[in-house]
Amino acid sequence: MQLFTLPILSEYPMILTLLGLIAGGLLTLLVGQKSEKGGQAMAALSLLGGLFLNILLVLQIWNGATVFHDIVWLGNPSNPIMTLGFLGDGLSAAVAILILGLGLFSVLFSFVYMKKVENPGLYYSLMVWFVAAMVGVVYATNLMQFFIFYELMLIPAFILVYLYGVSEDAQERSRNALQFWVWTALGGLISLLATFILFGATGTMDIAVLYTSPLAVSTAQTIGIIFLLGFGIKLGLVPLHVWAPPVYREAPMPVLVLLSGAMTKTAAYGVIRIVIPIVWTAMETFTTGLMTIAIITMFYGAMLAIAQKDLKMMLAYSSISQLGYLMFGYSTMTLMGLSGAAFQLINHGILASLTFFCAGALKMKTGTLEFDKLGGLAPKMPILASIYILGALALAGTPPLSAFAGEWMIFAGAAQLATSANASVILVILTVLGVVATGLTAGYYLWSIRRIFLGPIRDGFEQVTDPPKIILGIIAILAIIVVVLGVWPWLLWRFMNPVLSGLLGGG
Amino acid sequence: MIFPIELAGWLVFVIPVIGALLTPVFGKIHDTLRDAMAVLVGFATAFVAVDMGLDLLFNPRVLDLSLLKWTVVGSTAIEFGVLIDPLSVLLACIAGGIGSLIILYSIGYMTGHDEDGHVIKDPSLTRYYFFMQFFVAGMILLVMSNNLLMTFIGWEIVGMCSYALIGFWHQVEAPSPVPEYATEGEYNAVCGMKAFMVTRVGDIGLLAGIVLLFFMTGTFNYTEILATAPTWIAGLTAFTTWLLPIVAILIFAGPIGKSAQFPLHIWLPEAMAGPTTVSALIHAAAMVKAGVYLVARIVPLFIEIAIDVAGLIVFFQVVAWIGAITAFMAATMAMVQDEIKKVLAYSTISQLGYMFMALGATGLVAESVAAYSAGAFHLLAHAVFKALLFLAAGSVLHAVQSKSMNDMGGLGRDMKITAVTFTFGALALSGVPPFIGFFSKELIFEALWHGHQYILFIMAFVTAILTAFYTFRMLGMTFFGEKSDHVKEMESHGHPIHESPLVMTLPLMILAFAALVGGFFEGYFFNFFTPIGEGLTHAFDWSHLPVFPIGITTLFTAVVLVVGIVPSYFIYFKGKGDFSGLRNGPLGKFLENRWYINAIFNRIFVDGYLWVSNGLKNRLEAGLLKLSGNVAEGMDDVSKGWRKTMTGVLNTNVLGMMMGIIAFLLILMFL
Repeated sequence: MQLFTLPILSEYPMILTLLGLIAGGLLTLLVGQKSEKGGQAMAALSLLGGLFLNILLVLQIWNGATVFHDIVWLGNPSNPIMTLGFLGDGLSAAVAILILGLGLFSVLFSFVYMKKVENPGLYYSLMVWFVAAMVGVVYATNLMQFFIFYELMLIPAFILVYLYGVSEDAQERSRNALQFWVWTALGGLISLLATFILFGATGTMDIAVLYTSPLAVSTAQTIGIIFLLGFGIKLGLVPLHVWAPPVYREAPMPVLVLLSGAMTKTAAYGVIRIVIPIVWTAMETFTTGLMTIAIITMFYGAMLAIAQKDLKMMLAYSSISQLGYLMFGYSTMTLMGLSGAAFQLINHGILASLTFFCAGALKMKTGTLEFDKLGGLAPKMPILASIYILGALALAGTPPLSAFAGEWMIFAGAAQLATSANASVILVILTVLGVVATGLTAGYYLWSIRRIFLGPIRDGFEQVTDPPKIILGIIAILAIIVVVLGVWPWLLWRFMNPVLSGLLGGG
Repeated sequence: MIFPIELAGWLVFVIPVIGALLTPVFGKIHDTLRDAMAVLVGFATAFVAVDMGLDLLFNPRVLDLSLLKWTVVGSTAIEFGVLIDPLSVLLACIAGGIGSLIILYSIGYMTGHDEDGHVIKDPSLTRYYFFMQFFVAGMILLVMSNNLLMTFIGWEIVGMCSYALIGFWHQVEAPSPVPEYATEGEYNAVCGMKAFMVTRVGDIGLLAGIVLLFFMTGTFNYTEILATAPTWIAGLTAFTTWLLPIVAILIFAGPIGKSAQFPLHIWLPEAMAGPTTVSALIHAAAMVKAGVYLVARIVPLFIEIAIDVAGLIVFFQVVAWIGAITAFMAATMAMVQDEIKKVLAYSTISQLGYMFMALGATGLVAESVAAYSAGAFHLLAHAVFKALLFLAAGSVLHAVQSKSMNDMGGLGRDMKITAVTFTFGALALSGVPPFIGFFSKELIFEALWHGHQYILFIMAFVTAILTAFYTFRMLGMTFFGEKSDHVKEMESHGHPIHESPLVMTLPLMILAFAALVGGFFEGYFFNFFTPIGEGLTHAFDWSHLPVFPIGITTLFTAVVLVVGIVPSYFIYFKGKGDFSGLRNGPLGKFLENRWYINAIFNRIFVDGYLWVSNGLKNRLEAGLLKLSGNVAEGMDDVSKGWRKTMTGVLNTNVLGMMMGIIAFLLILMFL
């Protein structure tokens, strides 16, 4: 049963989203040359349109249905070499809405944060195209299509960082941007290599067909490791995270939201959509190793976060640490752990963006993000302070906020392994260590709250006020989502659970 | 009774949640409306809780109601529901009842007077009432929950609210009581954070324990864990059988943190930085009682499981010994404190140790129910007299404007109601008959003595002597003896010590009455608790329990009172003897510095952790980033080369490069 449909729009929501965003980006570029306001409006409208189409999509798949379209792209129609497919199910629609929503909020945030930006048409169109490419990844039903979009998204991301980076020095900007590009493009290429091996072994690139294609264990293991290496770079697993700190430092806040909140999630999505169903059963021998890498990432990120002197970099390392949780969930290879990781994928997208937006607003109002220069701001900016504290507690895994709903499942996945037939002391220790990481997270977030918002107010900040309404609106909406999903995760879970059960069953 | 009990089980925590959510809205309309609503919500919650209590009193039973499908993993549904049984309802009554009295008291306590006598209200009261109500809601959610996961959620809500409330006065500009921080406000914020972090350490164990137990038993639900015990115990492997006691101890880590037991007791004295009402709520009604509740909740399950899994006895030993060590240690620390609230804080830690001693002993003695009833009754008794002591202390602080007992003395003449009610609380804490504390402590003595746990008994006995001593020391220094210089100075400046308003003394009188007569309801209490332990193979028969037994342990109690109170009376009431040499000697310093545990932990876990983190940042991460930067630098040179030969626009180059790679790969693929 479909709850609500509109002719044509409901029929092809995904294709229309992509086309709309590409065209919208173009219009943004053109209109933006003439007027900044026009460009802003076009960008926001394109993303809003995409969001609307995806909400229509969600209404269609309300009861577990899926929407699928394909277009023959290469070869003759009866025996296509390659098709462009678009799959809308509970998982892809949820991730697409996350990406589009964050895109829209980043653009809205830019209205006030990136005021008088140089060449607004280019800036806003790149934002739209960046989102378009990421959404393209999410819908893909075909490995080639997946990786084309996966690499395409780097182009706008790279240009955004290069042109609009925060460093004054162009040399510095180009170095940081290039470093980012080289690493992540490399990550994509490595994954592509695995795709070719997979194609060689099975003769197909269609993801759904690959789910049921038989694979030799050794081939599956090779493919799995290469895939994880590729996706691991983009996820920023330690020590493959080295590209992240420079680009996070460089990127302006709205771009950073998309990089951390959305772009890294495409890799996490790739792991769920491609790696787990296709090769996971062969990967079981690596469970302990993968869990160890995830734990190292969680701890390393958390320890570096507490050592930072600057809120933006603390959040950047926090992001690295939090993505370790996703890998921890995946590497348990249980439905429980995988479910937790998938849920956390959405949660972290929301929460990372929430904290980055707060940091951006703080920077706007105080001009600095260095802990030593901040202090006592809670009475001056009560709404921002409350929402930041909420976000920080959520990221630290405090119920009843959303991240807990995902985190406990991730740890439960590990616990399931630690109490299963082939349990070992090491698995028990890894489970406990995973939970310890939430304590470390609480440590650096609470310390940041204390240093920014509590205690005596610093000189020069007497006149600081809450940020403009548009920013407050954005962070308030995100905060409400965090609370609602935390109190009743089933709202989101009802879409994702059937898909995930299917994916793991089909391996 | 008035509400259908199925509905009341949910209402009792939904009401304060709604109250909390409405607080900011009402705060926008009018201050008084907001305060009135908070009081109303407090009493409504208490009413629903007591209504449930009466229902169960007349008709003892257990109801397990699952309602909400919280989430589903695969085909496993995680359902949330409430468990209505004597234990949960008792705790709900304590949290709701004492919580409501504390909120009423706040109306008076959280207002002050300026130089001209105008009433000034704390400007952040919206925040205060929001978190107070949310705190009560979290606590009641925790106790009413029918499963471990939902209990954990309430558990963390309580922790979050305590963080917000302990650091409530984070803007105070007065000089900090410790030299590390610039202002008192900053110190308060640090204390809030410390409370959250230290309890979080325990919560880590708790969460890990809960999820591990989930896969051993297949459920989070308390009733189901017990009901399906034969099945899942049969399914345990050699490894998981070995693991089970460890999981039980991991779960106990949560109560160690929340109930401030050794070695995680270090947060609680600092939690005194919050308003006294918050201290009362944390110490008497909520938070620290959560740990005792959880242990009391799982102990009957584990007694049953221990029949098949012998290793589980370790869990009971750990609980009992942690309790005994904590009780003794905290009592020694309480003897040298100069701040009235600090004395009460250490006494809370010590009394909680008693409860754990009794609950742990349930698995060690033959008559489990005797030890269990002692723990549960002491929980109730402590809730009453500790709330009373805190609120009376708050009344004193409000009048004297100082926390130190050296600034008090002789207040009994000017604050009669406060003095009398405080004395009632002190007598109950020391275990003087016929106050409620006498009965509950007597039960603990009996359970340990007749259960042949003589070493635990000696610990309890010595601790009781120390307790009587420091309680009378506190009483003497505050209300009796000579007036201090501080008081005299206040009086000479035209600020005579005066009794607090009725909103503050009314809760005191109610609690004092309860402390006086509560002990006589021991029999009703046992009757009320009959459904706990029903269905266990292990004897858990409440009708076995003798009510008000007089025996050898009564003699011990008499010894305790004489040995503890008499010296204290002569030193602090009569001012006889000079013990400043002992007080300033090595032993006094050792106790004052809390056995140096705090300093050692701070050194290892805070300084050490930061040191390692900074080392990682400056050495490892810096090296890695430099290495990666060099690679990028190389790429930059490549791009510069291209710039010369091609269009000269960097991004076009990159675009071209991308296209080239993709084309190359496409060719590779199709040819």
